[in-house]
Amino acid sequence: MSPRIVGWIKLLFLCFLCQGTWVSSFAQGNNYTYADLNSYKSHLDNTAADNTGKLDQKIQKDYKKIIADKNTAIIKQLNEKGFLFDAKAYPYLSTIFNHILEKNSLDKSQFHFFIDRSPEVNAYSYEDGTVVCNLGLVTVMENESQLAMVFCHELGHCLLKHSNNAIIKQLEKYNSPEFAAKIKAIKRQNYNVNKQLEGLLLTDFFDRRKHTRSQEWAADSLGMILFSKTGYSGKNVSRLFDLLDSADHKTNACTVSSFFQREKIDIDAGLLRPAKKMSFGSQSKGMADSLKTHPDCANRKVIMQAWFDQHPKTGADFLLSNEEQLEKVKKIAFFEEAAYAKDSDIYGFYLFRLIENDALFPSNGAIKTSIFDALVAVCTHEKKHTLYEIVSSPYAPDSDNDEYAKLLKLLNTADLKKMIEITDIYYQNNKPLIAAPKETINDYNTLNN
Amino acid sequence: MKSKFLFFVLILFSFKGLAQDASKVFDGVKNITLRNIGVITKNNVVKGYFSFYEFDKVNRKTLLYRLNLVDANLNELGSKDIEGPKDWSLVSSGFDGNNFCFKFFDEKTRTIELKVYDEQANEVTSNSIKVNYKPTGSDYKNYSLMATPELDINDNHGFVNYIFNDPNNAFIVSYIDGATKNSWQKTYEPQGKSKLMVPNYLNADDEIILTGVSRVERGMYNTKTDHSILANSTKDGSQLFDISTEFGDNHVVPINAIFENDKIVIVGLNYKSAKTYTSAPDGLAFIEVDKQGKLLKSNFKTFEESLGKFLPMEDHKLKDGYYLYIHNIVRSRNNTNVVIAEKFKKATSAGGIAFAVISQGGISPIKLQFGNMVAIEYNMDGNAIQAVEIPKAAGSTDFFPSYAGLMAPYLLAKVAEILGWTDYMYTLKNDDNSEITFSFVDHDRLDPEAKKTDNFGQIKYKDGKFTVDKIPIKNAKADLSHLFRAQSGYVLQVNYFKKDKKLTMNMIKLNN
Repeated sequence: MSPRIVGWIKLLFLCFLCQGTWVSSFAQGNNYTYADLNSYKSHLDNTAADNTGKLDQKIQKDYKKIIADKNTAIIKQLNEKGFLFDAKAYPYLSTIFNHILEKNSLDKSQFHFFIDRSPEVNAYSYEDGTVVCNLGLVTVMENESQLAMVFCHELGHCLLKHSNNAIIKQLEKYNSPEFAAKIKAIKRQNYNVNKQLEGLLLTDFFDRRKHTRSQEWAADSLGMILFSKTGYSGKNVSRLFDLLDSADHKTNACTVSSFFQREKIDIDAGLLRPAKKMSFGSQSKGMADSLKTHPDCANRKVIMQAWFDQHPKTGADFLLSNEEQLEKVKKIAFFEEAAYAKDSDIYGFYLFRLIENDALFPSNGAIKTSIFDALVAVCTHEKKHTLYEIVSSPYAPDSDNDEYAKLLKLLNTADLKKMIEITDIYYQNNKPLIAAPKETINDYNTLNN
Repeated sequence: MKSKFLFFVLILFSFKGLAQDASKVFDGVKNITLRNIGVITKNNVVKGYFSFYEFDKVNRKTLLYRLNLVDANLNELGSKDIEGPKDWSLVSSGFDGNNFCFKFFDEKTRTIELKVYDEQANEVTSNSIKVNYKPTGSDYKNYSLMATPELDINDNHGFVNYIFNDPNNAFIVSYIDGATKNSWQKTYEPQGKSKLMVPNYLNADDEIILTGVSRVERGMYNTKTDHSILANSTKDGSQLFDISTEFGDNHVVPINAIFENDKIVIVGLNYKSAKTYTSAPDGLAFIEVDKQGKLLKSNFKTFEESLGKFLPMEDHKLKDGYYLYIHNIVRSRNNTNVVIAEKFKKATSAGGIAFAVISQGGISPIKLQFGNMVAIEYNMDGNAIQAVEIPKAAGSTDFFPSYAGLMAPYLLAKVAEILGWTDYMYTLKNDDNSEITFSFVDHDRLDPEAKKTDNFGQIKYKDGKFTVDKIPIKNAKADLSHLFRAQSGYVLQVNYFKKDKKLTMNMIKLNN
């Protein structure tokens, strides 16, 4: 059984113990406003100015532009509900992050921690000391020590100045006389100019990917050193690579067809069957390996395990809270992933996350209301011929277990009449639990006119 | 009139996906030397799109082209660099379930080349033919117009292509299969009274390719025809049979064929006259033959005896002097035959007469007026199960050339179809034939308050029912909009926003 499914089962068990918490977090909504936005902007500006001042004048302008674009993007994301600053998950994860800073005597003013509402299982960092953990990552972690290890890895990138050095190195290369001479020599030729230019850029791209992979090893190494000062146990930490690996192979906790069976909604099997995969050209293994940004999880696991075997790190898997607290945070993460999809107008994924949540919390009125709301939105857009605005197009999945691919197939294939029928039956089945806003009810009534 | 699919200068290969893959945006649209863009089909199923553009110069005579493919949902499939002559274009493409086939044309050497690639983008086999017509001659133009650019696809078993060629305006069947690597060409020249032979792909399996052949006698206004079904072996092209579909006073024009166990069922239009190009069909014909071409059964049904139950008739004809132009007949998953037709009649106008006078005989005052679409479902005995009239605004063609004034209405309708003047656009289906869609243009308002605009209409046959949905062809906010064929149930709308220099591609789902 995949770790993700085990996680879901544990979550299901826990949710019965603390249903109230789920409902309250679901119903109240969350805070997406960063209280220290102005001081963060100043930090970004100051860091950019400091770093730019240290550079050769030739590349200062380009560097400034790249950093300004990045800063604009991150501020935009902060202003557009891209990050979570709620009263439960954010303080909890920030505390783990701050604990690492404290135990390693790192200057807190130089680092910032955010939670990205993205469902992608990932964490990332910027040259200015900002470390970001995606909600998708939170949902697959088993304990605090694994989260701490991920944060240590990202801090490793920051301390080793990987992002900044990579930008500078690239700019220096593109501004070097050698590189300019190569470009000039190619352009002087009459034939195969584009092909050679493409080859030059591709070689450079592969070099960068190779360099990035070496940086990941370095960040792992420094991360382990930072981690060893935290008081967390190193025993189960390398398992996080199994969790990351399994997240790449989509496995879902429930099936879309079981949702419709439970609701007694008759769906033709063909509507849930994704198209057969087509391809034109395939990457060679060498090419695929060259494109990887990260080393293989399996290799990283072996090396991390070996390191902790040589440097045994006793401690606890939970230092600042407990398993129950983490599960509550995971629940918030599950809901937030869905809410983020809705805020981003990605209703196909929103509905998918809600269906998953509905399997876990079958009597939750807020989830039922949200599913009804999503179904009405899908029908309304279909009626206006604007379904493409809120539902992604179907895709041919790599695995038969890709339930999201099945739902997209259904949403993109069922005609309006069928979608209204699904919405009607769902509404009738769950009417006592659905507390939809007036607008949704109006839209629903319009559909049936 | 039929909305022609214009080829856009856009870069399919560099799709910048939004969160919704069903919608694509291209910022800062640039002019690139895009040679062609088109649809990859598997018969009437859209499987994806290709773009073909110049990437580099290899030497004085050769260019490096890049071919990019996306699937029917605009998900990237891959790309391939191909060296070829300077005057190359990619005419059309198909997918047989295993391999892709691309039909290239070298304008300078007038060579058509079919190249088959597997799903790893390796070239598997090719087949080329030189067009002998003089490029300046009218025959070259006329016969190019008559030959469909699209490939015909044999499910899982290769590709068929027809062209006309000199000498003697022969038609040539080319076949190529990536799986068996079988590749051949067979030439058929008009013989006896026939001056022209027109091929029409019917169907194929792993052994046989079936082609409907019309032999046309000379004479524009009094054209006698003779029809047959030609069978070639997929292995080497050898002729297996060529059986006539003339049965006494029943003259059958085959439209499609279905393989059923050891027999072949051919569905066609039945005429009571040998002038099938100029007269209206009397009804449908159902012919069964075995795989050796031996006739097993024939059955003829008139439109009048069955359609009268469903459509308004007057004196055994459609009301108001309309004729029915049959565009296509498709076999459904329910073992019925679904027919799409369009009502039309010959018309003159005072303006047209004045225009004809001014043009001093260059044009005639004759137009064709097209009325409603008509969708009909027949059972296998040829009895109409249902017929539905789908209202659309009456549109009319441009004025025909002066000599066309004497042509029979049915011949004018054929000419109008070749010129893309009918409102019917195309037929699509899904892989198992459970959904069949017919697309058309309607020049009317969608509702009384809406502006008068051209609309794209889709008639869908599903679960024994016909339903209709329409959308405006133009996006209200865009400066320019064009529609492309898409998978069944969808239409791909490409919009250009001049001010923002932005191009969007939206996969619009029809409601029915």
